[in-house]
Amino acid sequence: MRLVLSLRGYVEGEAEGELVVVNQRISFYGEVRDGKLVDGRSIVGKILVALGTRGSTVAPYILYGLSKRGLAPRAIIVSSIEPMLVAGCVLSSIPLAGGLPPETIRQIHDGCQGKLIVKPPRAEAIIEC
Amino acid sequence: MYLSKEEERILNGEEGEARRLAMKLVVRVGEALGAERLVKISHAHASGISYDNIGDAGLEFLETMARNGGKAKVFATFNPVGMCMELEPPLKLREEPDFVRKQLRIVKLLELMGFIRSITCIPYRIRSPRLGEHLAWGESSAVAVANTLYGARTNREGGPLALAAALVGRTYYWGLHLDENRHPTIKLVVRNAKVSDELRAGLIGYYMGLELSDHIPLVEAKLAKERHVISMCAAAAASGNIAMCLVKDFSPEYREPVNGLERVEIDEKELVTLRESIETASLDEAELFFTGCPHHDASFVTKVADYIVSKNIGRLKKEMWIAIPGYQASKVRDIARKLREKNIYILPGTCIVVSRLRGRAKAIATDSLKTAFYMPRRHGIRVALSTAWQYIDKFSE
Repeated sequence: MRLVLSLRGYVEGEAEGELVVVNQRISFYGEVRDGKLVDGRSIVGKILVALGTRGSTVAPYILYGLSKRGLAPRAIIVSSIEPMLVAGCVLSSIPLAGGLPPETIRQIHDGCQGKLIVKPPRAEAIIEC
Repeated sequence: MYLSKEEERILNGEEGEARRLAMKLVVRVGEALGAERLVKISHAHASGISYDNIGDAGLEFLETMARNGGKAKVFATFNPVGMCMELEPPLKLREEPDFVRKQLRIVKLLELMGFIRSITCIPYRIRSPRLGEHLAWGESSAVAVANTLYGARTNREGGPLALAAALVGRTYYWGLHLDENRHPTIKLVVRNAKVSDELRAGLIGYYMGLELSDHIPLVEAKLAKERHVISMCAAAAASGNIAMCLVKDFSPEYREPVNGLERVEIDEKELVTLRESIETASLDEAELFFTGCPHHDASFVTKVADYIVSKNIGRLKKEMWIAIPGYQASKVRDIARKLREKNIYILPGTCIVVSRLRGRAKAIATDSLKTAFYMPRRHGIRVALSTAWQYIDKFSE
């Protein structure tokens, strides 16, 4: 399966790599630690795909801390956007795109390969599974 | 993005390096979201204050802003810290000196930048937001309360953005700052369930966060007190991303839309099922009870003390912890000493979630659904749910 998706770009940049897919909203505080999701999966150097964010507004500091320690995701793609995720990605220079249809999240899975090019307000993602 | 002459001057560094960096962050986030301009704010509230949460990276960010002469342009407050302020902590836990030093440094930096020494997640108790007023608040629970209970306007700002907004006195004009984005988008009806305590209110909020995120729910539920709305908002902003809801009899902007709304109904059964999915420990397994997430006003401490006296309770068999704002510590100094004899401890300026006071506890009890969301995820601690009064009655000698 090869998907070419036109998305909303928020934070500029390009990234290529393996996907880690979370079909729910994530609280970076409490559900991400030391580069790992609460279920143990690593997001380090991966393209993190999630429905969106939730919970604590400390999220940008968590992302910033991860990026300083080399434990951040390479890029983030979400369905719905929250300002605090934008702030975290701006501070950490992590390419960020939104507007991914929730049904697409159900079609893809960990290990799919992704390429993301973000030139706000546009972004393009190519996903191969 | 359109910038006024003053805003451009700040962005060009004419008011110093810290304000230049702060303005750059606010403008970059605003532009990314598609905001057309900035808006002046009257109160900024920064989250991300506990060293346990933000670590060295966060501390360095604050150091950079303070070292470069950062000064708040507007009324500014900040969230709880990672340790008890002013009063003796409940556990004889020897905080690591490095942790204490860095946490106190964070507080010092904020004070240097002109922040009020609030040390609380209920900034609306220090200064009540006015209807329609623009704010830039971090702290997910406070954001939801400001929009819901006060009709003030703030997005769920991340900690660094709220700090930056304090330094420039502005945030980007987007999202909940705009009239058109403050209308309810779904109706939640809670049938046959009277909400007589904050635990039950929290369960409704937890449901909202899980099922109705990205919405502004219009809530029809029999909530009795303002504290119940606060508890509901806090849970909804933890299990989800609810930044605002409209609650009958409490929200100044509450109105039924003319064209009706999609409707979701829940009843007692859903709340019981939800509670079962959250509760992972029994009350007997819980090593202590924690309340005050969000912080209780100091008056709650008096209420507990009065209850203990009226019931003629000698001492609780297990500890009870009550978190209150740091700025209210001196108010409760005497009463806190007496309550310690009853095995009840006051935690000013912190809470069990953002501190290391939890020690090696494996299970706790709480009436806060926000706490119940974070404790297992962040700290691997199991949670029992109970009201404060049920806990006191069960474990009193």
